[in-house]
Amino acid sequence: MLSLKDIKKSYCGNQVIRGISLEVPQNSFYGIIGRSGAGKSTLVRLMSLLERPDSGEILFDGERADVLKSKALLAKRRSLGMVFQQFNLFSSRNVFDNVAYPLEIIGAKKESIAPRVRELLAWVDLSEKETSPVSRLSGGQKQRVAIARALANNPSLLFCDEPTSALDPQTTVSILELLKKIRKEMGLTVIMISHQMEVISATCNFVAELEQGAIVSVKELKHA
Amino acid sequence: MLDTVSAVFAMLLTPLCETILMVAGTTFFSILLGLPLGVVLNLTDPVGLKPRRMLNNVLSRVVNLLRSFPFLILMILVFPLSRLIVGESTGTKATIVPLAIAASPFVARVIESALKEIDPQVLLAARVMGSSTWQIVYKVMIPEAMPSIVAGITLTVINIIGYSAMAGAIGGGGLGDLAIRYGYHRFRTDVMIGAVLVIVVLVEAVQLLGSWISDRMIKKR
Ligand SMILES: Nc1ncnc2c1ncn2[C@@H]1O[C@H](COP(=O)(O)OP(=O)(O)OP(=O)(O)O)[C@@H](O)[C@H]1O
Ligand SMILES: [Mg+2]
Repeated sequence: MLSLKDIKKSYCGNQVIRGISLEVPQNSFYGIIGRSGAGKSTLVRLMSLLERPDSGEILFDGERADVLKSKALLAKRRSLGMVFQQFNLFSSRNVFDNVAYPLEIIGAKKESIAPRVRELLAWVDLSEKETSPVSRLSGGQKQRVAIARALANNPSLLFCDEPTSALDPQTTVSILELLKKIRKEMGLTVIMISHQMEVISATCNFVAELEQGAIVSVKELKHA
Repeated sequence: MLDTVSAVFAMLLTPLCETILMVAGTTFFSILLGLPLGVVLNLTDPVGLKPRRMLNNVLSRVVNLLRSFPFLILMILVFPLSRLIVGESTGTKATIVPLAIAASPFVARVIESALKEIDPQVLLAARVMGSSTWQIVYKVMIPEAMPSIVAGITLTVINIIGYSAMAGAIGGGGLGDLAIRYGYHRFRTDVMIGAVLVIVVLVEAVQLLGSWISDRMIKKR
Protein backbone atom coordinates (compact mmCIF):
# COMPACT_ATOMS: atom_id res chain seq x y z
CA MET A 1 0.00 0.00 0.00
CA LEU A 2 2.49 2.60 1.24
CA SER A 3 6.22 2.12 1.16
CA LEU A 4 9.02 4.40 2.21
CA LYS A 5 12.54 3.89 0.88
CA ASP A 6 15.38 5.44 2.83
CA ILE A 7 13.59 8.70 3.61
CA LYS A 8 15.68 11.52 5.04
CA LYS A 9 14.65 14.98 6.22
CA SER A 10 16.60 17.78 7.89
CA TYR A 11 15.59 21.19 9.19
CA CYS A 12 18.43 23.72 9.13
CA GLY A 13 21.10 21.04 9.25
CA ASN A 14 19.34 19.13 12.01
CA GLN A 15 18.50 15.67 10.69
CA VAL A 16 15.09 14.73 12.06
CA ILE A 17 14.38 11.68 9.86
CA ARG A 18 17.46 9.55 9.31
CA GLY A 19 16.84 7.09 6.52
CA ILE A 20 13.49 5.44 7.19
CA SER A 21 12.22 2.48 5.18
CA LEU A 22 8.79 1.05 5.85
CA GLU A 23 6.20 -1.19 4.24
CA VAL A 24 2.62 -0.58 5.27
CA PRO A 25 0.45 -3.48 4.09
CA GLN A 26 -2.99 -2.92 2.58
CA ASN A 27 -5.79 -2.77 5.15
CA SER A 28 -3.41 -2.92 8.10
CA PHE A 29 -3.71 -0.89 11.28
CA TYR A 30 -0.14 0.31 11.45
CA GLY A 31 1.18 1.88 14.63
CA ILE A 32 4.23 4.10 14.92
CA ILE A 33 5.41 4.61 18.48
CA GLY A 34 8.08 6.93 19.77
CA ARG A 35 8.93 9.49 22.40
CA SER A 36 8.29 13.19 22.12
CA GLY A 37 10.68 14.65 19.57
CA ALA A 38 11.43 11.30 17.92
CA GLY A 39 10.13 12.68 14.63
CA LYS A 40 6.67 11.08 14.52
CA SER A 41 4.76 14.12 13.32
CA THR A 42 7.47 14.91 10.80
CA LEU A 43 7.23 11.38 9.45
CA VAL A 44 3.45 11.73 9.08
CA ARG A 45 3.84 15.05 7.26
CA LEU A 46 6.19 13.32 4.84
CA MET A 47 3.91 10.31 4.33
CA SER A 48 0.87 12.54 3.84
CA LEU A 49 2.81 14.53 1.20
CA LEU A 50 2.67 17.79 3.14
CA GLU A 51 6.42 18.01 2.98
CA ARG A 52 9.00 16.61 0.63
CA PRO A 53 11.80 14.36 1.86
CA ASP A 54 15.37 15.53 1.16
CA SER A 55 16.08 12.11 -0.30
CA GLY A 56 14.42 8.72 -0.60
CA GLU A 57 11.17 7.59 -2.19
CA ILE A 58 7.54 7.43 -1.12
CA LEU A 59 5.38 5.00 -3.07
CA PHE A 60 1.62 4.48 -2.98
CA ASP A 61 0.71 1.13 -4.55
CA GLY A 62 4.08 1.08 -6.25
CA GLU A 63 3.83 4.59 -7.69
CA ARG A 64 6.17 7.40 -6.73
CA ALA A 65 4.26 10.10 -4.83
CA ASP A 66 7.06 12.26 -3.42
CA VAL A 67 7.74 13.74 -6.85
CA LEU A 68 4.16 14.82 -7.56
CA LYS A 69 3.53 18.50 -8.23
CA SER A 70 0.67 20.99 -8.24
CA LYS A 71 -2.60 19.43 -9.50
CA ALA A 72 -1.41 15.83 -9.28
CA LEU A 73 -0.19 16.46 -5.73
CA LEU A 74 -3.51 17.97 -4.66
CA ALA A 75 -5.36 15.06 -6.25
CA LYS A 76 -3.19 12.56 -4.38
CA ARG A 77 -3.70 14.34 -1.05
CA ARG A 78 -7.44 14.19 -1.63
CA SER A 79 -7.18 10.40 -1.52
CA LEU A 80 -5.70 10.55 1.98
CA GLY A 81 -7.37 11.41 5.27
CA MET A 82 -5.87 12.68 8.48
CA VAL A 83 -6.93 13.28 12.06
CA PHE A 84 -4.96 15.17 14.68
CA GLN A 85 -4.43 15.39 18.40
CA GLN A 86 -6.09 18.81 18.62
CA PHE A 87 -8.86 17.91 16.10
CA ASN A 88 -8.15 21.01 14.01
CA LEU A 89 -11.78 21.63 13.08
CA PHE A 90 -12.85 24.86 11.38
CA SER A 91 -14.45 27.03 14.05
CA SER A 92 -16.15 29.16 11.40
CA ARG A 93 -18.15 26.12 10.25
CA ASN A 94 -20.70 24.02 12.07
CA VAL A 95 -20.51 20.23 12.30
CA PHE A 96 -22.20 19.65 8.95
CA ASP A 97 -20.06 22.19 7.09
CA ASN A 98 -16.84 20.83 8.55
CA VAL A 99 -17.62 17.42 7.13
CA ALA A 100 -18.75 18.99 3.86
CA TYR A 101 -15.47 20.86 3.39
CA PRO A 102 -13.47 18.12 1.60
CA LEU A 103 -16.44 17.56 -0.70
CA GLU A 104 -16.69 21.28 -1.48
CA ILE A 105 -13.05 21.53 -2.48
CA ILE A 106 -13.32 18.72 -5.00
CA GLY A 107 -16.26 20.54 -6.54
CA ALA A 108 -18.97 18.07 -5.50
CA LYS A 109 -22.54 19.14 -6.28
CA LYS A 110 -24.67 20.48 -3.44
CA GLU A 111 -27.25 17.73 -3.91
CA SER A 112 -24.60 15.07 -3.53
CA ILE A 113 -22.88 16.69 -0.54
CA ALA A 114 -25.81 16.62 1.89
CA PRO A 115 -26.57 12.87 1.73
CA ARG A 116 -22.87 12.02 1.97
CA VAL A 117 -22.38 14.27 5.02
CA ARG A 118 -25.45 12.76 6.72
CA GLU A 119 -24.18 9.26 6.01
CA LEU A 120 -20.80 10.10 7.57
CA LEU A 121 -22.35 11.76 10.61
CA ALA A 122 -24.50 8.68 11.12
CA TRP A 123 -21.33 6.60 10.97
CA VAL A 124 -19.70 8.55 13.77
CA ASP A 125 -22.99 8.76 15.66
CA LEU A 126 -23.39 12.54 15.53
CA SER A 127 -26.50 12.87 13.40
CA GLU A 128 -28.27 15.00 15.99
CA LYS A 129 -25.38 17.52 16.13
CA GLU A 130 -25.50 18.52 12.46
CA THR A 131 -26.07 22.23 13.02
CA SER A 132 -24.09 22.56 16.22
CA PRO A 133 -21.06 24.90 16.28
CA VAL A 134 -17.96 22.76 16.84
CA SER A 135 -16.98 24.72 19.96
CA ARG A 136 -20.02 23.30 21.76
CA LEU A 137 -18.84 19.70 21.36
CA SER A 138 -16.90 17.55 23.81
CA GLY A 139 -13.39 16.40 22.89
CA GLY A 140 -14.61 12.98 21.82
CA GLN A 141 -17.37 14.49 19.68
CA LYS A 142 -14.88 16.86 18.06
CA GLN A 143 -12.61 13.97 17.19
CA ARG A 144 -15.55 12.11 15.67
CA VAL A 145 -16.36 15.12 13.50
CA ALA A 146 -12.70 15.20 12.48
CA ILE A 147 -12.86 11.50 11.59
CA ALA A 148 -16.01 12.01 9.54
CA ARG A 149 -14.33 14.92 7.75
CA ALA A 150 -11.24 12.82 7.05
CA LEU A 151 -13.38 10.05 5.58
CA ALA A 152 -15.53 12.27 3.37
CA ASN A 153 -13.57 11.66 0.19
CA ASN A 154 -13.32 7.91 0.69
CA PRO A 155 -9.58 7.86 1.38
CA SER A 156 -7.63 4.67 0.93
CA LEU A 157 -5.36 5.65 3.78
CA LEU A 158 -6.14 7.35 7.08
CA PHE A 159 -3.37 8.99 9.11
CA CYS A 160 -3.93 9.57 12.82
CA ASP A 161 -1.37 11.72 14.66
CA GLU A 162 -1.94 11.06 18.39
CA PRO A 163 -5.72 11.01 17.89
CA THR A 164 -6.50 10.25 21.54
CA SER A 165 -3.80 12.17 23.40
CA ALA A 166 -6.17 15.01 24.23
CA LEU A 167 -8.95 12.68 25.42
CA ASP A 168 -9.82 10.96 28.71
CA PRO A 169 -9.37 7.15 28.97
CA GLN A 170 -13.03 6.30 28.36
CA THR A 171 -13.32 8.53 25.31
CA THR A 172 -9.99 7.16 24.09
CA VAL A 173 -11.44 3.66 24.08
CA SER A 174 -14.50 4.75 22.13
CA ILE A 175 -12.43 6.60 19.50
CA LEU A 176 -10.11 3.61 19.10
CA GLU A 177 -13.11 1.29 18.71
CA LEU A 178 -14.49 3.63 16.05
CA LEU A 179 -11.19 3.62 14.15
CA LYS A 180 -11.08 -0.18 14.27
CA LYS A 181 -14.63 -0.42 12.99
CA ILE A 182 -13.87 2.02 10.20
CA ARG A 183 -10.83 0.07 9.07
CA LYS A 184 -12.75 -3.18 9.06
CA GLU A 185 -15.95 -2.01 7.42
CA MET A 186 -14.55 0.55 5.01
CA GLY A 187 -11.55 -1.54 4.11
CA LEU A 188 -9.02 1.25 4.42
CA THR A 189 -5.51 1.30 5.83
CA VAL A 190 -4.85 3.19 9.05
CA ILE A 191 -1.51 4.59 10.17
CA MET A 192 -1.56 5.75 13.76
CA ILE A 193 1.08 7.66 15.68
CA SER A 194 1.20 7.38 19.43
CA HIS A 195 3.54 7.56 22.37
CA GLN A 196 1.40 5.12 24.38
CA MET A 197 1.86 1.39 23.92
CA GLU A 198 -1.64 0.70 25.35
CA VAL A 199 -3.18 2.68 22.52
CA ILE A 200 -1.14 0.85 19.90
CA SER A 201 -1.69 -2.62 21.32
CA ALA A 202 -5.44 -2.03 21.58
CA THR A 203 -5.73 -1.42 17.86
CA CYS A 204 -2.72 -2.13 15.68
CA ASN A 205 -1.57 -5.27 13.94
CA PHE A 206 1.86 -3.79 13.21
CA VAL A 207 4.00 -1.50 15.28
CA ALA A 208 7.16 0.31 14.24
CA GLU A 209 9.30 1.90 16.90
CA LEU A 210 10.79 5.28 16.08
CA GLU A 211 13.82 6.55 17.97
CA GLN A 212 15.63 9.75 17.09
CA GLY A 213 14.45 9.69 13.52
CA ALA A 214 15.15 6.04 12.79
CA ILE A 215 13.00 2.88 12.91
CA VAL A 216 14.57 0.57 15.46
CA SER A 217 12.07 -2.29 15.27
CA VAL A 218 8.96 -3.47 13.45
CA LYS A 219 6.72 -6.06 15.05
CA GLU A 220 3.56 -7.81 14.00
CA LEU A 221 1.03 -7.83 16.80
CA LYS A 222 -1.38 -10.71 17.30
CA HIS A 223 -4.52 -8.71 16.99
CA ALA A 224 -7.82 -8.77 15.23
CA MET B 1 -33.09 78.24 20.68
CA LEU B 2 -35.10 75.64 18.84
CA ASP B 3 -34.77 77.73 15.71
CA THR B 4 -30.99 77.74 15.95
CA VAL B 5 -30.93 73.99 16.52
CA SER B 6 -33.06 73.29 13.49
CA ALA B 7 -31.13 75.83 11.41
CA VAL B 8 -27.81 74.22 12.39
CA PHE B 9 -29.31 70.81 11.74
CA ALA B 10 -30.38 71.87 8.26
CA MET B 11 -26.87 73.11 7.56
CA LEU B 12 -25.41 69.81 8.78
CA LEU B 13 -27.53 67.57 6.62
CA THR B 14 -25.71 67.86 3.28
CA PRO B 15 -22.21 67.76 4.80
CA LEU B 16 -23.24 64.69 6.82
CA CYS B 17 -24.30 62.93 3.64
CA GLU B 18 -21.01 63.93 2.03
CA THR B 19 -19.05 62.55 4.97
CA ILE B 20 -20.98 59.29 4.92
CA LEU B 21 -20.42 58.98 1.17
CA MET B 22 -16.72 59.74 1.59
CA VAL B 23 -16.28 57.25 4.44
CA ALA B 24 -18.32 54.51 2.76
CA GLY B 25 -16.51 54.94 -0.55
CA THR B 26 -13.14 54.99 1.15
CA THR B 27 -13.96 51.90 3.18
CA PHE B 28 -15.08 50.07 0.06
CA PHE B 29 -12.01 50.90 -2.00
CA SER B 30 -9.55 50.43 0.84
CA ILE B 31 -10.89 46.91 1.42
CA LEU B 32 -10.75 46.28 -2.31
CA LEU B 33 -7.03 47.21 -2.28
CA GLY B 34 -6.10 46.22 1.27
CA LEU B 35 -7.68 42.75 1.42
CA PRO B 36 -5.62 41.19 -1.38
CA LEU B 37 -2.53 43.04 -0.15
CA GLY B 38 -3.01 41.71 3.39
CA VAL B 39 -3.58 38.18 2.11
CA VAL B 40 -0.43 38.33 -0.02
CA LEU B 41 1.55 39.74 2.93
CA ASN B 42 0.38 36.83 5.07
CA LEU B 43 0.96 34.13 2.43
CA THR B 44 4.44 35.31 1.46
CA ASP B 45 5.62 35.67 5.06
CA PRO B 46 8.60 33.37 5.87
CA VAL B 47 6.22 31.22 7.95
CA GLY B 48 3.27 31.64 5.55
CA LEU B 49 1.83 29.16 3.08
CA LYS B 50 3.83 30.51 0.13
CA PRO B 51 7.02 32.03 1.54
CA ARG B 52 8.55 34.64 -0.81
CA ARG B 53 11.04 36.66 1.17
CA MET B 54 11.81 39.31 -1.45
CA LEU B 55 8.22 40.06 -2.41
CA ASN B 56 7.18 40.12 1.23
CA ASN B 57 9.94 42.59 2.10
CA VAL B 58 9.09 44.93 -0.75
CA LEU B 59 5.36 44.93 0.01
CA SER B 60 5.99 45.39 3.69
CA ARG B 61 8.19 48.44 3.04
CA VAL B 62 5.62 50.00 0.72
CA VAL B 63 2.89 49.48 3.31
CA ASN B 64 4.99 51.01 6.06
CA LEU B 65 5.92 53.96 3.88
CA LEU B 66 2.28 54.69 3.03
CA ARG B 67 1.26 54.32 6.65
CA SER B 68 3.82 56.78 7.91
CA PHE B 69 3.20 59.31 5.13
CA PRO B 70 1.61 62.55 6.43
CA PHE B 71 -1.93 62.49 5.12
CA LEU B 72 -2.18 66.12 4.07
CA ILE B 73 0.95 65.83 1.93
CA LEU B 74 -0.31 62.57 0.45
CA MET B 75 -3.58 64.23 -0.44
CA ILE B 76 -1.86 67.07 -2.29
CA LEU B 77 0.50 64.68 -4.05
CA VAL B 78 -2.44 62.59 -5.19
CA PHE B 79 -4.36 65.55 -6.68
CA PRO B 80 -3.30 64.65 -10.25
CA LEU B 81 -4.36 61.05 -9.75
CA SER B 82 -7.72 62.13 -8.34
CA ARG B 83 -8.21 64.34 -11.39
CA LEU B 84 -7.38 61.41 -13.64
CA ILE B 85 -9.77 59.00 -11.93
CA VAL B 86 -12.65 61.25 -10.85
CA GLY B 87 -12.17 64.19 -13.19
CA GLU B 88 -11.57 66.71 -10.40
CA SER B 89 -9.01 67.08 -7.64
CA THR B 90 -11.25 68.47 -4.90
CA GLY B 91 -14.71 67.62 -3.69
CA THR B 92 -16.17 64.63 -1.93
CA LYS B 93 -15.67 62.05 -4.65
CA ALA B 94 -12.14 63.17 -5.48
CA THR B 95 -11.13 62.98 -1.83
CA ILE B 96 -11.99 59.28 -1.75
CA VAL B 97 -8.85 58.66 -3.83
CA PRO B 98 -6.23 59.86 -1.30
CA LEU B 99 -8.32 58.56 1.61
CA ALA B 100 -8.43 55.07 0.09
CA ILE B 101 -4.70 55.18 -0.63
CA ALA B 102 -4.03 56.17 2.97
CA ALA B 103 -6.42 53.61 4.45
CA SER B 104 -5.61 50.55 2.36
CA PRO B 105 -2.23 49.86 4.02
CA PHE B 106 -4.06 49.96 7.38
CA VAL B 107 -6.57 47.46 6.05
CA ALA B 108 -3.71 45.31 4.71
CA ARG B 109 -2.10 45.15 8.16
CA VAL B 110 -5.47 44.45 9.78
CA ILE B 111 -6.02 41.52 7.42
CA GLU B 112 -2.44 40.30 7.73
CA SER B 113 -2.48 40.22 11.52
CA ALA B 114 -5.99 38.72 11.69
CA LEU B 115 -4.84 35.88 9.43
CA LYS B 116 -1.71 35.40 11.52
CA GLU B 117 -3.85 34.54 14.54
CA ILE B 118 -5.23 31.40 12.86
CA ASP B 119 -3.92 28.17 14.37
CA PRO B 120 -1.33 26.80 11.89
CA GLN B 121 -2.55 23.29 12.70
CA VAL B 122 -5.98 24.17 11.31
CA LEU B 123 -4.34 25.31 8.08
CA LEU B 124 -2.35 22.07 8.06
CA ALA B 125 -5.65 20.17 8.21
CA ALA B 126 -6.94 22.16 5.24
CA ARG B 127 -3.75 21.46 3.32
CA VAL B 128 -3.75 17.75 3.99
CA MET B 129 -7.24 17.48 2.52
CA GLY B 130 -5.85 18.73 -0.77
CA SER B 131 -7.10 22.34 -0.70
CA SER B 132 -5.48 24.68 -3.18
CA THR B 133 -3.96 27.85 -1.75
CA TRP B 134 -6.87 29.86 -3.11
CA GLN B 135 -9.38 27.50 -1.44
CA ILE B 136 -7.52 27.80 1.85
CA VAL B 137 -7.67 31.59 1.59
CA TYR B 138 -11.35 32.01 0.85
CA LYS B 139 -12.84 28.93 2.48
CA VAL B 140 -10.69 28.70 5.60
CA MET B 141 -8.49 31.69 6.38
CA ILE B 142 -10.89 34.56 5.79
CA PRO B 143 -13.91 32.89 7.46
CA GLU B 144 -11.79 31.78 10.44
CA ALA B 145 -10.38 35.29 10.89
CA MET B 146 -13.67 37.12 10.22
CA PRO B 147 -14.37 38.34 13.79
CA SER B 148 -10.88 39.91 14.02
CA ILE B 149 -11.18 41.29 10.52
CA VAL B 150 -14.48 42.99 11.39
CA ALA B 151 -13.00 44.42 14.61
CA GLY B 152 -9.98 45.72 12.69
CA ILE B 153 -12.03 47.20 9.86
CA THR B 154 -14.18 48.96 12.47
CA LEU B 155 -11.08 50.69 13.81
CA THR B 156 -10.03 51.59 10.29
CA VAL B 157 -13.44 53.13 9.53
CA ILE B 158 -13.15 55.24 12.66
CA ASN B 159 -9.73 56.40 11.49
CA ILE B 160 -11.18 57.17 8.08
CA ILE B 161 -13.85 59.36 9.70
CA GLY B 162 -11.07 61.31 11.39
CA TYR B 163 -9.07 61.62 8.19
CA SER B 164 -12.14 62.63 6.20
CA ALA B 165 -12.68 65.55 8.59
CA MET B 166 -9.07 66.54 7.96
CA ALA B 167 -9.52 66.17 4.23
CA GLY B 168 -12.49 68.50 4.46
CA ALA B 169 -10.11 71.28 5.41
CA ILE B 170 -8.53 71.24 1.96
CA GLY B 171 -11.57 70.96 -0.20
CA GLY B 172 -12.95 67.54 0.57
CA GLY B 173 -16.35 68.71 1.67
CA GLY B 174 -18.25 67.01 4.48
CA LEU B 175 -18.51 67.83 8.17
CA GLY B 176 -14.84 68.77 8.58
CA ASP B 177 -15.17 71.33 5.83
CA LEU B 178 -18.31 72.74 7.42
CA ALA B 179 -16.69 72.98 10.85
CA ILE B 180 -13.73 74.89 9.40
CA ARG B 181 -15.66 77.19 7.09
CA TYR B 182 -18.40 78.22 9.50
CA GLY B 183 -17.01 77.41 12.89
CA TYR B 184 -13.49 78.69 12.38
CA HIS B 185 -13.60 81.31 9.63
CA ARG B 186 -17.05 82.73 10.42
CA PHE B 187 -17.07 82.25 14.20
CA ARG B 188 -20.24 80.17 14.08
CA THR B 189 -19.48 78.20 17.22
CA ASP B 190 -22.91 76.54 17.15
CA VAL B 191 -22.22 75.07 13.71
CA MET B 192 -18.82 73.87 14.79
CA ILE B 193 -20.20 72.20 17.92
CA GLY B 194 -22.98 70.65 15.84
CA ALA B 195 -20.47 69.26 13.33
CA VAL B 196 -18.23 67.87 16.05
CA LEU B 197 -21.19 66.29 17.82
CA VAL B 198 -22.36 64.60 14.65
CA ILE B 199 -18.85 63.22 14.06
CA VAL B 200 -18.71 61.87 17.62
CA VAL B 201 -22.09 60.20 17.18
CA LEU B 202 -20.95 58.76 13.85
CA VAL B 203 -17.81 57.27 15.40
CA GLU B 204 -19.81 55.85 18.28
CA ALA B 205 -22.36 54.30 15.91
CA VAL B 206 -19.64 52.68 13.81
CA GLN B 207 -17.95 51.28 16.92
CA LEU B 208 -21.21 49.88 18.28
CA LEU B 209 -22.16 48.31 14.97
CA GLY B 210 -18.69 46.80 14.45
CA SER B 211 -18.51 45.33 17.95
CA TRP B 212 -22.02 43.97 17.62
CA ILE B 213 -21.26 42.17 14.35
CA SER B 214 -17.96 40.80 15.63
CA ASP B 215 -19.46 39.61 18.92
CA ARG B 216 -22.35 37.95 17.14
CA MET B 217 -19.94 36.02 14.92
CA ILE B 218 -18.00 34.81 17.95
CA LYS B 219 -21.16 33.83 19.82
CA LYS B 220 -22.39 31.79 16.88
CA ARG B 221 -19.25 29.64 17.01
N1 LIG C 1 9.26 22.59 10.64
C1 LIG C 1 10.28 22.31 11.47
N2 LIG C 1 11.35 23.13 11.53
C2 LIG C 1 12.38 22.86 12.35
N3 LIG C 1 12.46 21.80 13.16
C3 LIG C 1 11.42 20.95 13.16
C4 LIG C 1 10.28 21.15 12.32
N4 LIG C 1 9.41 20.14 12.54
C5 LIG C 1 9.98 19.35 13.46
N5 LIG C 1 11.18 19.81 13.84
C6 LIG C 1 12.07 19.18 14.82
O1 LIG C 1 12.09 17.81 14.57
C7 LIG C 1 12.08 17.05 15.76
C8 LIG C 1 10.95 16.05 15.73
O2 LIG C 1 9.72 16.75 15.75
P1 LIG C 1 8.32 16.01 15.62
O3 LIG C 1 7.26 17.04 15.79
O4 LIG C 1 8.30 15.22 14.37
O5 LIG C 1 8.35 15.05 16.88
P2 LIG C 1 7.20 14.14 17.48
O6 LIG C 1 7.78 12.77 17.58
O7 LIG C 1 5.96 14.29 16.74
O8 LIG C 1 7.05 14.73 18.94
P3 LIG C 1 5.72 14.92 19.83
O9 LIG C 1 5.44 13.60 20.46
O10 LIG C 1 6.16 15.93 20.84
O11 LIG C 1 4.62 15.39 18.96
C9 LIG C 1 12.00 18.02 16.90
O12 LIG C 1 13.29 18.19 17.45
C10 LIG C 1 11.53 19.30 16.25
O13 LIG C 1 12.09 20.41 16.90
MG1 LIG D 1 3.98 15.09 17.17
